Amino acid sequence: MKRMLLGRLAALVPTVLLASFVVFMLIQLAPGDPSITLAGENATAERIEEIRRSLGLDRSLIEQYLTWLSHAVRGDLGKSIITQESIAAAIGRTLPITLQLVFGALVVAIVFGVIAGVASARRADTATDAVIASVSSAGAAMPSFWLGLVLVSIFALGLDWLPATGFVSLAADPVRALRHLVLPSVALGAVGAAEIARQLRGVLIEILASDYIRTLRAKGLSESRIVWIHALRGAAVPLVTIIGLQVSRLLGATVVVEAVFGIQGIGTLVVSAANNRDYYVVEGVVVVMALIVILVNFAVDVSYRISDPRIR
Amino acid sequence: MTGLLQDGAMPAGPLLSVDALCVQFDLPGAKATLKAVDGVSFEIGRGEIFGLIGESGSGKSSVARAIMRLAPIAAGAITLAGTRLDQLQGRELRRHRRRVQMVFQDSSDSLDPRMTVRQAIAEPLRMQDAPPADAGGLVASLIQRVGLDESHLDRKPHTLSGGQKQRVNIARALALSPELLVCDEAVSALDVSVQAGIINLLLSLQQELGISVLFISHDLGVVAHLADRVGVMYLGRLAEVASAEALTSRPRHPYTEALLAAEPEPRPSTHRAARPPLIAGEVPSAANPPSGCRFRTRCRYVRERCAAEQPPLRPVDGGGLVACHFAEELVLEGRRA
Amino acid sequence: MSGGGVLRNWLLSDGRSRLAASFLLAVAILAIAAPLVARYSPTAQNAMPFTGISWDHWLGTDDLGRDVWARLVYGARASLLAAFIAVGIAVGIGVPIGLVAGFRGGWVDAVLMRIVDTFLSFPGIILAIAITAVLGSGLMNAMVAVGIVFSPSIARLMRGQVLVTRERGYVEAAVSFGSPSWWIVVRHIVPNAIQPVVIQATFMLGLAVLAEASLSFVGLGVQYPNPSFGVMLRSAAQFTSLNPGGVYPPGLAIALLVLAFNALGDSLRDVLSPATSTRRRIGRRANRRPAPNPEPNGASPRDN
Repeated sequence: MKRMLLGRLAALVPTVLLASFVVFMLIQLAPGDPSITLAGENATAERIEEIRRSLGLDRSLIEQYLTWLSHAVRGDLGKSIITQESIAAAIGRTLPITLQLVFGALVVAIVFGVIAGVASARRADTATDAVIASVSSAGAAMPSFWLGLVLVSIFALGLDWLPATGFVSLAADPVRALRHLVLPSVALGAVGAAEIARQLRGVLIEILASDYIRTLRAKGLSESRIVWIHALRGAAVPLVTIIGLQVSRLLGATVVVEAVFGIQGIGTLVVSAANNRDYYVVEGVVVVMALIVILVNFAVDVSYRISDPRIR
Repeated sequence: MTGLLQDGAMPAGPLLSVDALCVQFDLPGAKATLKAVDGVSFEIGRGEIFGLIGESGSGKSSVARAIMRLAPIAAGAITLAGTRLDQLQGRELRRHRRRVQMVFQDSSDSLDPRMTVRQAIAEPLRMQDAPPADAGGLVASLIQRVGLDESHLDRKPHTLSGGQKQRVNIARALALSPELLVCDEAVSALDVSVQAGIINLLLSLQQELGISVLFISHDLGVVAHLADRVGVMYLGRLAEVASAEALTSRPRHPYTEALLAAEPEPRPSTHRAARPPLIAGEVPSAANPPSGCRFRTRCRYVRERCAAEQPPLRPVDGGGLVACHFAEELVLEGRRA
Repeated sequence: MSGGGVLRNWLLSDGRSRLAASFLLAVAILAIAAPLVARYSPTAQNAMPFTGISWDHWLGTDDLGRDVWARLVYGARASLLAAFIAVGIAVGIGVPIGLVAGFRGGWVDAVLMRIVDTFLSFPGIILAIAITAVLGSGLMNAMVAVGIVFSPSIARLMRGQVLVTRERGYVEAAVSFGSPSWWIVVRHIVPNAIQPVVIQATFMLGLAVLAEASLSFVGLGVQYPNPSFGVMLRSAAQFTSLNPGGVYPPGLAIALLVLAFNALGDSLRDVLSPATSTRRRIGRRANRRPAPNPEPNGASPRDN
């Protein structure tokens, strides 16, 4: 088991390296010269040349990449051209906020997704099933940031039940944090809930028709016990895969939802960096995001292998 | 050059000669190779129908695919009227492909579902360096020759029956006027009643066109009915080669005897009880074949020498070739009259 | 038939795809005929802000007094165009890559798929933002970015299809009568491998509409003052307290467009791949071939 884990982990290294290389090369395609930007207006040619040398921009791309990589593995992703803030520090400041939001959305997606998935699988091909199917296909079609706007206009501005914008850390003030987290989490998690419901339905219908479940029914177990304990346990592996895919999607969708709720997360960071052409910040964020996605996929893969020894 | 030769005086010698052919496949995963065909030699004369028979996994299809240059040739030579087919590459290979055409086993899978019958039959013609001037007329005459009519030309394969599809495949294979037609289990997937129609079509086409045919099947009855001479394959090697008549009336290899014994009786119930199956057990894996004679693990006449020494395919009296150390001693039973 | 059955049949029957197709057609016509359908310029400030619904302004006006209906039909133009450009680019990049990887195999396949998998490990929208940052904002650049982001999954799908099609008997037959590789690829492999890609591309049109809206919403897509659904949402979002209804026209337009593309994709899948839909094919002659080895798990008409 330990060897398998280490082996899988080692196999991630080239994936991460390749991902960072792709991002690095992509950023190199950007027009303009950061040394000219940094030197400011009316800078002499010598001054620009000096900055270029100090940034290492006079060396070959591969050399630049290796330098960047050697700094990156030590946690140094460079500095923002605009704000001069250390990029690692900026990510360290914003990432926990985004992760808290993604976690809230994941809870929403799993709770509603599993309930709806189980309900429609138990009542497959009935009106309930059809209604859940239509609601989830509508949910999957809605942009999460638009859902966020609608929720804000109803529950925050209309009914004044919940705050419209802002963010509070769970560690600082759990109650206020949760109140701030509800609307963005629902907005972000709705699409995930729809997706989980749809896929779980298919998996569960198959399991509920299996001989194993038929045996349990013959033994006289209650239907809800069969569904909620035995059938869901059988659906655990595909469910973990579906959830793993959702994490990657949520990390993307959070970018726009943060903008709706004025949350200063990593999405806001990368959007303003992109708008300001602050390439190194964009580079750092994309690499960190890719790293998170790769690690989540790794976790899904490992849980897969642990729960199903046939896969090796 | 070879083309000129054929048009002139008919040269002597066989049309196709296969010499010590080996076909190997890399097994995925394990770092091993599978010798599907291991040193097979035979010849097919001009205008001859040569049957190749064996169980699945015997390598008979790999022989066909090697002749078609669809399977990798590890060693050996394949010569068609003086041309070393196995050595052709690239453009040369494509030019010579027209001389050998194949009718595949799966009549549906070998027709593109998106092409009409007309497009399918015309496709080989379009692929030639010099397409015939009257391709349309040729397609029409081909479809009639295989027993369909022109109304079938604009239909898609899925609207045809299995037998009709196989007739289209035959028409397509004949479009290029090949010297050799290879039929790989061409009737195996069809109903018995449809099979008879296709076999009779092949026989009449062969007589009409005078082409040579390599007919591959696991069904000894069909092969013996159709072929002039028959080769019996077992685990990648030839066990026996003889005329269809000699092979069925007086088999010289224990495996051939076993195949004949396993044939369904033409008149049921008469002798069945008296003839227990002569062959038992599974075919050994071709990836790890038995030493010596490959048939020894299932042979009821097996002796010590069989494990130690590989029997060569050698001539015996009566004109056939047999790969058995004891062909002269054994008295084997043929098909009952 | 039970009430549930009727409801289900209505929701799942062909009527849904017909509805989706007519809706898309209507939107397309509106978008093309925008100058005729809209009575105002989408960028002209020709009334008070937030007038509300009236005969002059069917959907009211926005924060700058621009006609919302005019902005919506012109916005549909931008959104549809954006979707087709993005998916066109995704198909244009993905199909050749998948084709080459699947047909060539070997190290070419290994290298290409490694790159494809790398691209798939980025959250899509973030990669699109990064590419837009490099290319510069604007509708065209944003859609190039979205197209690049979508292309790896098209490449993967195409490769898988090519791997299956390559082994089909008609491809081998084509080799056996001397067809050159290019002919086999163009005439046999592409036509028989492309269907799932067409279906996937249909779903992607919906995703591209969403992507356009997202990128424009954060300011990286369509630029001021031109309308698109995302831009309209962006300005409506700033005035939700003054004009809470402002988010509905563009938001519903996006949701309906995406729903319609999804429904179209579903019905295309039903019509094009007979293996997954038995429902609509009853009575038709099944295109079954004598399989030498029976399918594992038997035939399951449900989604695979």
